[in-house]
Amino acid sequence: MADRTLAELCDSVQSAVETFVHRERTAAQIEQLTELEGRVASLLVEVKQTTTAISNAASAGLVVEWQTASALSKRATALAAKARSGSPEREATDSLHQELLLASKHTSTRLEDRWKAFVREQVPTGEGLRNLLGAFQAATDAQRTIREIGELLGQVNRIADQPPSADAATRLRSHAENLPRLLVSLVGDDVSVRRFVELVAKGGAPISAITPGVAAWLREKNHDGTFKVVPGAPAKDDS
Amino acid sequence: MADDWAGHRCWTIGGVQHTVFGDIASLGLDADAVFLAAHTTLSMNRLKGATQHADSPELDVLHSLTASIGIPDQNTIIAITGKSGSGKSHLVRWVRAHLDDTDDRYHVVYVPRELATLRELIGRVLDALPDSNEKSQVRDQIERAVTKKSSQQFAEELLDRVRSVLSYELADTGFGSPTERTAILGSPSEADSGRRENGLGDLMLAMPLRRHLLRSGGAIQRVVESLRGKRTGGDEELPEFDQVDLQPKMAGVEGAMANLQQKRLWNKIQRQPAPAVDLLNEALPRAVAETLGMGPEVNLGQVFNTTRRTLRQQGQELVLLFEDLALFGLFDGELFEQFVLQPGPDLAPIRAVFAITDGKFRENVPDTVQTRLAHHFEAGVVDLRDPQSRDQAHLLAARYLNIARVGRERLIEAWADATVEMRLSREWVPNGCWDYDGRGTECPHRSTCHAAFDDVEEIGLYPYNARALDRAIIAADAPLTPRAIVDEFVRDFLVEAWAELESKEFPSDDVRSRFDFSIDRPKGEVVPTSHADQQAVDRLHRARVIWADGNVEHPGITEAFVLPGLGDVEDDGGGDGASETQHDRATDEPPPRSRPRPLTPVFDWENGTPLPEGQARFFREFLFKLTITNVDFDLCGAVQNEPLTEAILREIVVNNSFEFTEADPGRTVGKGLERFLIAPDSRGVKILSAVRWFADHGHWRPDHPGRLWDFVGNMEQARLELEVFIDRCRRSVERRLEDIISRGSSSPAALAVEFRTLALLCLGVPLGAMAPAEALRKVLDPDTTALSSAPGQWPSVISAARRVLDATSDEWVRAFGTVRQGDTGEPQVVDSQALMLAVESVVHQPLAERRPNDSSSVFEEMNTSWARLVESLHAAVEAERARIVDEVAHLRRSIGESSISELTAALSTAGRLAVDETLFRPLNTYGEFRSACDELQAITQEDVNEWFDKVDRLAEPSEEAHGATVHAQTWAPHAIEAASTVRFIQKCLAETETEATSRLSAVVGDLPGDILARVARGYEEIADLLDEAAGGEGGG
Repeated sequence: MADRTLAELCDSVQSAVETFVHRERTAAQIEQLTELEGRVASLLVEVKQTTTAISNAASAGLVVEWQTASALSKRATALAAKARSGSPEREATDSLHQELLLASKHTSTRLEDRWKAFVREQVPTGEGLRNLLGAFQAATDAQRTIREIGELLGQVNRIADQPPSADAATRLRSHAENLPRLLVSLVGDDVSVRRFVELVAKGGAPISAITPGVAAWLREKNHDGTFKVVPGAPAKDDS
Repeated sequence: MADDWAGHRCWTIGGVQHTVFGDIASLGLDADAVFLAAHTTLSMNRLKGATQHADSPELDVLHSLTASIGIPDQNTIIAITGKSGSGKSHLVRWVRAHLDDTDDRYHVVYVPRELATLRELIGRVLDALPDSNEKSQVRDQIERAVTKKSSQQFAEELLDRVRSVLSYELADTGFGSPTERTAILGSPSEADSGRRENGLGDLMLAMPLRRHLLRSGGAIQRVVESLRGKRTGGDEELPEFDQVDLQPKMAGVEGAMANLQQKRLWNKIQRQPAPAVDLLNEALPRAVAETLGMGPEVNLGQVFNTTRRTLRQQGQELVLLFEDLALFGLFDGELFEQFVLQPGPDLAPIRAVFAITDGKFRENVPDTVQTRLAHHFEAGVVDLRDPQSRDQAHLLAARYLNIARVGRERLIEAWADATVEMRLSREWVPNGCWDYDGRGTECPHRSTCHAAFDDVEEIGLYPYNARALDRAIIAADAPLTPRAIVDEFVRDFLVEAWAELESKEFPSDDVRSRFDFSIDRPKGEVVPTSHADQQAVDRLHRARVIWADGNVEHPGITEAFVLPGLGDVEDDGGGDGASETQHDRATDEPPPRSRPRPLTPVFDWENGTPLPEGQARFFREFLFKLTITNVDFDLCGAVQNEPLTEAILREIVVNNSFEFTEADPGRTVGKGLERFLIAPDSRGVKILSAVRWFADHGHWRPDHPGRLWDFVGNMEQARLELEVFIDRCRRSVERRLEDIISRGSSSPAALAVEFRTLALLCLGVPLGAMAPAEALRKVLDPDTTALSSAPGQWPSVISAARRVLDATSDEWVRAFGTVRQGDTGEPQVVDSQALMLAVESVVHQPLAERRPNDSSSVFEEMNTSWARLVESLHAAVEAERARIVDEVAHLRRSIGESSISELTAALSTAGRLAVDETLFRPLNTYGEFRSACDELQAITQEDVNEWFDKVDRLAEPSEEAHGATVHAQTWAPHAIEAASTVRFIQKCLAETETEATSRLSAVVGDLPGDILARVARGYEEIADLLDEAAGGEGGG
């Protein structure tokens, strides 16, 4: 009360009285406004889902941009002001709705793609690894390890199908750390052998990776007929 | 006797002690000669009987007795009554002394008053009576009763006897009303017809009362002591019950009573004890007689009866002489029976002379005796102070002075040698002046002595003279009795003078107190000397006043008293010759006494007599007036006769500031008041003499033919002394007055103006906007009734301010800020310049510290009110400042950018609209709303702008802002009132709005505004989310 001047109070009173006087007209207005209110509410849910996903991805270490967010925010603010002033703009509202829905869908898709790529970067699940596992199928003493590696790969694939989150990222990191350990138990302690196997799992080792130790390991394990030389770029050696 | 006239003493201490007795009871029975030698005729009225001798009352009594001797058939009872000290006993003793002991016609029984105990009294009577069996039985019985029982046993027996007499013997009729007697004595017992029940006798069975009655000093014990031990005192000392015996100051007496009836009687006695006391005393003689073992056959009556029979047989008559019959009170029943029992063939006549006081005569002597009195004399109490009795007083003093000189032995010897005729003529009495050695040798100083000290019947009055004796008489308490003259004038005085004459200190200041010391001239005139020895001067002064009425004393006095010479003054006139001349003049030509002598009290005061109360009051009042009249009030900054000035003066000087001696009437003034001592000396006498003269005459001309009295002394000196004294007093008063008025930060008038100025500012008077003169007029305007305060306007300050206005009337300006002009002495011109400055200083700095004047209680009310105002102001000013700021700020916010006229129009429209739709709230306040709008409309835009402008000075707390807050009282109340009006309007509008929306909501549910608000909030929330998402860009 104290914040309003006498003149403002007079206007308010006058307005309130007049509104009361014309209450039938007001009822129709209320119907339209109620519909508008519903649309704004659904829009809010949509935006909230998208922004939540973006946020979750970020917490998983995956940054996805919503390039139009700033511009859309300004338009929403303008609409809020219009609403407060008692003159909501239906067309502008509709336009904003459309754009927001599109932007939201687009952002969601991008986020999904980026996540799957991210998962694959973390844990290789491609042909190299499958070949490697196939090479050891016959080795009876490696069956258990091979099974564990298969289960791990299954879990990584499920993470790739889920929305990104901090939890998924954590589990992914865990799997990424376990896989080399399983491979070591599969190939032994020789460093050159381990390096060779990891490169194979990633997609292919270079010729230079066949060190005397690797050659000896191949012979020892009877893998002479398991690996073949093919033209192409080998997997990148991160070590 | 000393041969030297200087310090002459013709008496000895021993001589005085053996001869001079005022109470006849103190004189030994063998010393008739002593009192007879000094005897003077008594004042006596004959109440009954024929005069027997007209020459003197004592001869009349004597002849009334002796003339009846030989008349066989009737008794002769002579009563001498009178007040104590009137000479009754003296007369009886004189009669006894002049009865012829050798006359065998009668047998004399003389009972003197000097007998110490009742036992002695009875013994004396028995001894004087002829021997008989009855006499022996009585004596034996009494001896047994008194000596063979302890005092306690005797007392208890006596108490029981009293109780027994009360319960069994006293009749319903007697002294007092029969109804009352019966009520106190009790009603007859049904079981035993001879006993009374529940009466005073039964009350005495209660142990607490019994213990009280037997207490030491009670009547019972005193009677017992009287019967067994010593008895002292005079006429009224016969032991008897009094009210104290029945009003014990102890608890538990009532509770010890046996029944309700006894308690009621006890309470009645407590309220009115006299009748019960009378009954106890009525019972006492019988109880005493019974306790002593007296019975029907053994009693004094029987002894007297036997005596009379015996005397009849011997042809003699019984002469009974009682110096005080009251002493015989416990046994007088038997005696009175004898008085009534007339003589006959077997009984000798009784010739009795008894003295008794008036009261005892009425109480104890039964009517049967009173009606049978042959002669009744009444000894009158002569006040020897009466002028017509002066000669008698002089004669009495002279005769006692003589017997003191002659001595006891010579008197007894002379009496013994004298014939009856000589005894009656007084020829037998030796005169010490003419026969100082018993061999007929005249005193060698007699002629000088009698010339200087006067004589009566050729008996010298030395060391008195007639004047001194008169002054002693005047100074004595009334009535002056012979006993007082003997005891005080002669015995005590001679003893006192003996030592002082020897040490040459006579007359000392102690001696002076025996005499009237009034005198009609100042001490300096009585003893005109600058003699260094003040004690000597004082002694001479005393001697001259007492022995010479202030004149130069007779040379014989000078020599006898070894008085100091005053060579520097009196010797200039020719030594002794001049003194003699003055003495003669003083003696032979006393100053004319035709005019009043109003200075006598002053001269007496100089000589040690306190000023009479009226005189002291007069002098104080006049000196006070003289002093105040001379005070220069203008110099002190005050106006005379103004109530406040007078009030301050009363704290400086009052009538009693003028002090005399401690002995003079009037209380000493309190602390802080001026004290001006006027000592009873030459200077003091001059001052008071001058005051008296000027008060009576109004001029200083001693020879003015219209003068009321003659001034004694040097008037010019007196006038000068008075003027010097008054000037000193005036200066003291002026100093104090000036000091009081000059205290404080300003003059009292300016202080009052300052206080009033602040008070008026606090009340909202716009003094700051007024010209100085107008502001001062407003401040001094006593009418403050028009000043009103707004509701809620710092009430504590308003109250204090009003009190200040009440306490600072224009009296202060009249008394201390006004100059007198013209003839009336009325204050006329106000010193406005100083007062305007006072107003200005407060307007300029309302809260500056001001030091009140606390030097007088007159300022107290003003100071108290001021302190309260300052206190309340300091306590309230900050809150008031904040309040003003807040209220004006609210007003400013509420008005906004609108003009008052715009607002009032909008308010009118909105209100009208709402009330038309019955939406105006609060209900039934639209009228008030309209009034409020009208009030708001009445405020001008200029007012509002001024408020908004001025409130800025109050913005932050500071000394300046607080001063501005005081000044703001001229407008702030209006602004605050406007703010209050606005609040009311706002309240109405807000409630009206709420009402309208509520009513709408009830119809349509959510209001558009509410929905829009929620829509807006939704958009805002979306915007926030988007902003958040946009902010996350660039990461990863």
